[in-house]
Parts: sequence; structure tokens; C-alpha cells
Amino acid sequence: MTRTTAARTDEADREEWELIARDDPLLSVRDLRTHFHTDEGELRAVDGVSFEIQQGEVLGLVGESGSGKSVTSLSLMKLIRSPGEIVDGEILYDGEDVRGMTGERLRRLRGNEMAMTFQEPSSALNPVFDVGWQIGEPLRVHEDLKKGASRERAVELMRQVGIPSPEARVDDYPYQFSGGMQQRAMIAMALACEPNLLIADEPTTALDVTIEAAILELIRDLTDSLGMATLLVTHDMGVVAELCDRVAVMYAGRIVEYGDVETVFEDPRHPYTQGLLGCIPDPTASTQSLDPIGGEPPDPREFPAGCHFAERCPASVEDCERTDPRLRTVGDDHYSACIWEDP
Amino acid sequence: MSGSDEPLLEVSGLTKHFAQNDSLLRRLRPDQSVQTVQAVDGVDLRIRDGETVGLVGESGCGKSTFGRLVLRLLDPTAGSISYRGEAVDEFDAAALREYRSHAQMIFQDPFGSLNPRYTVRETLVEPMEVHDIGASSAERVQQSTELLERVRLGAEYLDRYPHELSGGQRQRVAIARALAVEPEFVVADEPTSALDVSVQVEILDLLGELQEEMDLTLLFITHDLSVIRHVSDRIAVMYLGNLVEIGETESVFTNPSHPYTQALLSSIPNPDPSATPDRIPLAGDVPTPIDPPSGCQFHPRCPKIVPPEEWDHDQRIWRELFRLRTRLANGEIEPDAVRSTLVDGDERADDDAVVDALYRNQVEERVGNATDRAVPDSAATVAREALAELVVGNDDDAVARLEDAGFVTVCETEEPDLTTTEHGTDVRCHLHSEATRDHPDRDELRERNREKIL
Repeated sequence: MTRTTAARTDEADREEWELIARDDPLLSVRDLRTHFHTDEGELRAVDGVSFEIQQGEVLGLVGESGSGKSVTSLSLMKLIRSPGEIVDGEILYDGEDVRGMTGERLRRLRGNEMAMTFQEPSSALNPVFDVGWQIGEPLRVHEDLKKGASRERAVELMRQVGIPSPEARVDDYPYQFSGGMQQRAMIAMALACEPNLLIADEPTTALDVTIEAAILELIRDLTDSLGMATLLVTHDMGVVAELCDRVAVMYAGRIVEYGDVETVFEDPRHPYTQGLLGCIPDPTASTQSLDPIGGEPPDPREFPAGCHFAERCPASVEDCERTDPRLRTVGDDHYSACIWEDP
Repeated sequence: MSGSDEPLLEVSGLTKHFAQNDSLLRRLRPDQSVQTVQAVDGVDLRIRDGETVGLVGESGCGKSTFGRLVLRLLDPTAGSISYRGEAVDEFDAAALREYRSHAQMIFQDPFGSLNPRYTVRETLVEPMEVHDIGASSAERVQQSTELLERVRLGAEYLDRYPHELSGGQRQRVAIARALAVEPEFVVADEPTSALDVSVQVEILDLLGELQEEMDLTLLFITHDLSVIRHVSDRIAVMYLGNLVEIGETESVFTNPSHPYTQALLSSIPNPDPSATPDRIPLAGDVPTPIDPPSGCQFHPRCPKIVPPEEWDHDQRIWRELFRLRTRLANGEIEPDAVRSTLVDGDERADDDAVVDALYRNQVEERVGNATDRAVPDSAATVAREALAELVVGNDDDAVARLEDAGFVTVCETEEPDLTTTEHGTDVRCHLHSEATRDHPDRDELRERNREKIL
């Protein structure tokens, strides 16, 4: 694969992931690049992303629409189909290379070791099978349970995720469930085989605020009690603040800021993160001036050679259009990809 | 921002029922009935000249239907709408057309609300032609250019099609189209929910500026409470087709009086990770508007439901037993399932054992989650008796047992009136209700209830 950005070298990639590396990661993603080969050119949806998740931790992957966060999460389980392709980078699950997995090994990874919940529960659940059957399916596939046993486990799982009277509702079809209950059913399905990593793609976006609060609490409790790791993909900074231990902020196919959630929110260093936080209405403040970022993200077919955010950045200088900034340490467990340490 | 006291728009008793699965065949068959969805159910609201009223509620509460009713995009089932003293609900086609040049709407989805075959120029010129604004087409195009500048887009956008625009730009065009007829009143239905946060701010700022420049009155409909605090002068909180609380934005946010408003405000994700959330959890889901609950429609989920006078213990214990009654009445508890679990676990599975198991997970556990106080003996006995009736198949007797023992509430029998609170907000809740206040002994009861709850 030829790189269109000359400034990004393998050497710099290595430095970046070595910088953010921690001990014993459950999942480590190194310079992941997922592109879509379209008629109008190469669409670089994910353009060199590195991050790590440890056991028992919730990492928030946050960004606006089109920033590449969902493509990143799909890449982790090798769920990218043509015209998309993972063109470069490494995904290490417990030290094992996911990109190289095929056949039976890949099957065991999906649903058993890593599980995913999707944004729209109403379209992710199969309308023609009852909920109990669907929650039990991973158990029948991965753990060879028989029909009856999988149904019993399904009832237990439904209870665990807070679906009331699970014995009565196990035979219901998805349309008989409300949005919040469908989301719970999907989480139950993902948890069926006790995965080590849960990938939750916008788990609360389609839900009302009172239901959202309950689902977030559920994910937190399950992460703590089962000791699994969770990657939470969202566009909502409020949700990240509420639930996550660490956060990776994505912009135009890259991670621009990464680190401990309290540090990043308290002292954001990347101008994009600062802009993003500056335009969230604070429900607790009576008066607040919100400042829009201005401009639009670049076209992923024609990313600029330098910093992807340079065009909209209030702190940009001429140098930003030439140098391609990499993540660098700006504090304790706090990394920012900007030529300024503290713009 | 508020203008004169005379309301620009006054709505009273506004109601909209939709028939579900309606068909001639269904109407003719005696075994089938047409269900009605009570989307909006007797709403009263006044909107003053020049103010922004935020209408907030969860999905399905009827807020969008309400927005469409006030513009007569839907015809109300009952109630009246008056605009500057004229009865909008009685307008004929000509009057309605005239009305629409004063009152306009901005829709949620800028991808669906613009005609994909129209250029921006055509989109903007059409309403002017319909309403006879501008003397010639050159003048209309001139006005369109000015409108585009007003929404911070330039004349170069005139010949673009919607697919060439980003979400934020489309919403600007949709706003420009609404403003093309120079309206006084605009209903904005979730104008920013399809947009990213950074774009959302731009649109909110734009609406604020336009409101000042053009002296607009806005009804801003949204599910997003943080947005509503930012834009509104007053807010109205809607639940199942009814307004439960109305007041100045600041008063409602600092002193929410209705338990639903309190729960709603406590659920907003706070963008500050160091803040510790103090959540008020709500039981269950929003009930269906096909058959809404009696009395106060929030009572099945309400954490502050009012126990009867005779109850001397913790309100939370009473609440859990009341909810047990509701679950029994809805047939949600299945003794057979519990029995088979016991059988599978090789445990005793006679009726007494089933009652014990049911009592443990339907009462003890739930009360334990709500409070650390124990269930008083008399109440425990009643609950067990009711569960015993259920186990032998007398579902109705089970419910009656709890009803007879005082697990009934004013919240399910009477619809609360709108009452003004000490914070100047209007709230529809028995905790604040006039009826409760008038009775001298009830007054004491109310205090006692409050103490129990707090």
C-alpha cells in the first residue's frame, strides 16, 4: 500500500504505539488503517489509529459522525467487507494477531471472546425469532448447549440485564419489547458467552434519557462484576464522562487525544477536543456561551498532508499544514496529537 | 425577551386522538374494536409574543403531534387554538393559507424535509410565490439571496441541490425556507437532533440571532434537556400527551416540582466526569398512549406516589407493595414459572414454598433495594395472603386483597389539577394539588408524606 502522506512513516507509527503502550493490554490496536476502495478514490475512514484496552476498563471512543469510530470498532472483529479493507496495522487480542485469524479461530473470537452490540436494536434483532432463541444462539453455537438449556440460560441472562419477569418474556418477539428492553436483550445476547471484550456501538443513541441512564449503569455494573473490558463507541461526550475510565477522541480517521477521562475533560489539550467540549450545552449551567468550531471536517478521500484539523483550528500555524502530528505525552496518562503541547 | 401580556397563541384543552388499525371491516365486526391513541390529551398552553417556549418530553409523549396541531398540519379532535385572538381551529382553507404566512415550521430531519429535486433557489422562492411575496421573480430571487445571507450561507448556494449540502447547511436552508414568508411564529421540531454537536451549536446560535433580528416567537420542541435550557425562556414538560410542569426555564431547572421533571433532569448525562450522578431511577417504561393509566398518568412509575393517610411507615415500602398490586393486576407474575424453577432446583415446591419464593423476589428484594427498613408485619401478611390467592389461581382476589388493605392511592383515582408552586411554576401533581391543600387534615397529611419521601 502506498501512503499518500509522506510525513507518516513506519518509524513514527512505531514510536506512537510504543508511547501509549501499557502492561498487559487485553486488546492493542497499532496503526490501524481501514480504507474503502471507491470509484471516487481511496476513502481513508480509519487512517492510523492506535489504542489499548485493559481488563476491567471502559474505553470511550468518541467522535462526530464520519470520524471513523464505527469502522474502527468493526475492524476489531474483522467485520469489514469489500469495498472496505484493513490495509495496514495490527490488532492484537491477548497477544494474538486478529488480522491473521481465519475460519474456526475467527469464529471463536466473534461472540465468544469479543462481542458487539449495535446501535439500532430494533434492526439488529431478528424479527422472526423470539428473544430467548436469539439470546441463546451464541450458546448453542459456541458452547454446544441444547435448545432447552440455552433457553434457561437466556432467562438468567435476561434477569441479569434487568428485563422484568424474564420467564414470561423469553418467548416474546422483538416487536413486543420497547427500545430500552431491546437494547437490554442485545446486551444479554452479547454477554451470553461471557466475552472478555464488549464492543458497544452507540448503545444509548436511540433511547430516551431516562432509559439511557439505566443502560449506562447496567454496562458499568456488568463491566465491574464480570471483569470484562468495554469499548464504548459514542458521539456523546456526556455519556463518556458518565461511564468511561479512559477516552480516545477521534477526528477524521485519527485519534487526536487519548488518556484518562478526568484528565482529558478537565484539561483538554487538543484544539478539537477543546472545541468539542466548548460546544456541549451544560445542563447544570444557567448561562453559558457556546462556541461553535466552524467549518467542516475534511473529505476522507482527500485528507490534507499535515494535521487533519488544521483547516478549522484556531491555533494553527503554517507548520501545521506540513507536519503530521503524532500522539505525544502531555501529562500523566494523557496524550495529544498536536504540535502545541498546550495550545 | 418577553413582550406584551396578550398571548400570541393560546391553546386550551387541545386533544388529538388517532385511530389505530382503523378500517371499515374492523368497524363492522362486533368482535373487533378500533383502538384510539391519545397522542395529545387536553393541553393548555399560552405563548407570549417574542418568547421561546421549550416543549420537552420523551419519544412518544405527543410533543411533535402538539407542534403540528398548533399549525393545523393536523386537525385537532377537541380543544381550541387561538392565534392573536382568532380561532385557528375554525379557519377555512383561505384563512389557513393566510395563517401559514404567519406561522411556519422547521422539521427535524433536514435530509427528508427538503425536496431533493429542487435547487435551493426553487426551495426558497416557492413559499414566496404561494403567499404572494415579492412583485417579480427577480425580486424573489433577490430576497432569497438575502435570506441565505441571513442564515450565514452565501448567494453561491442558490443553484445547489440538497445532496450537495452537509447536514448543517441543509438545516440552514430549511430555516431560510421557513423565514421566506416572514413569519411571526415558528415551530421548530427537534431542529438539531439529527446534527453533530459542533453543528448543533451553530444552528442554535443562528436561531437565537434570527429571533432577535426578526422578532420571532418560537415553540422549540426537543427531547434534549441541555439544549432546552440553553434556548428557552419558559419550558413545558410533557408526559403521555399532557403537560405536567410549565414554568420559567430557570425555575424549572433549579426547582423542578413534578417527580417526572425531577427524574428527567437527574438523568441527563453530565459532561463532567468528576461529578457524581444523583439519579432518580424510574420504574418501567413509558406506558402506551392507547390505554394510558388512570388518574395521574405518571403514577405507575412515580417514585413519590402518595400513600393513603392511614399508612404510617416508610413511603418506599408502601410504593413497592402498590407496585406489587399493579403487577398482579397486569398478570406479570407467573407462579408456575417460579414453581418449575423450584422443581428444577430439587427444592420443595408446594404452594407455601411458591408463596415464600414469590414473596422473596417480588416484595422483600424490591423493598430491600429501595430502603433498608423492614416491611411492617401487617403489610407482609397482606402481601403473602395476596400471593397465596395468586398461587391458587384467584388473580382477582389477589388484587382485591391488597386494595382492601389500603394499597390504593389518590394518584390513580383522581387526575391532579394544575397548581402554581412557590417557585412560580405550574405543576400537575397531587403532592402540590389544590384539592389536597384545601382539606385541613389533608394538609397535615401532605407534610407527613413529604417527610416520608424526603
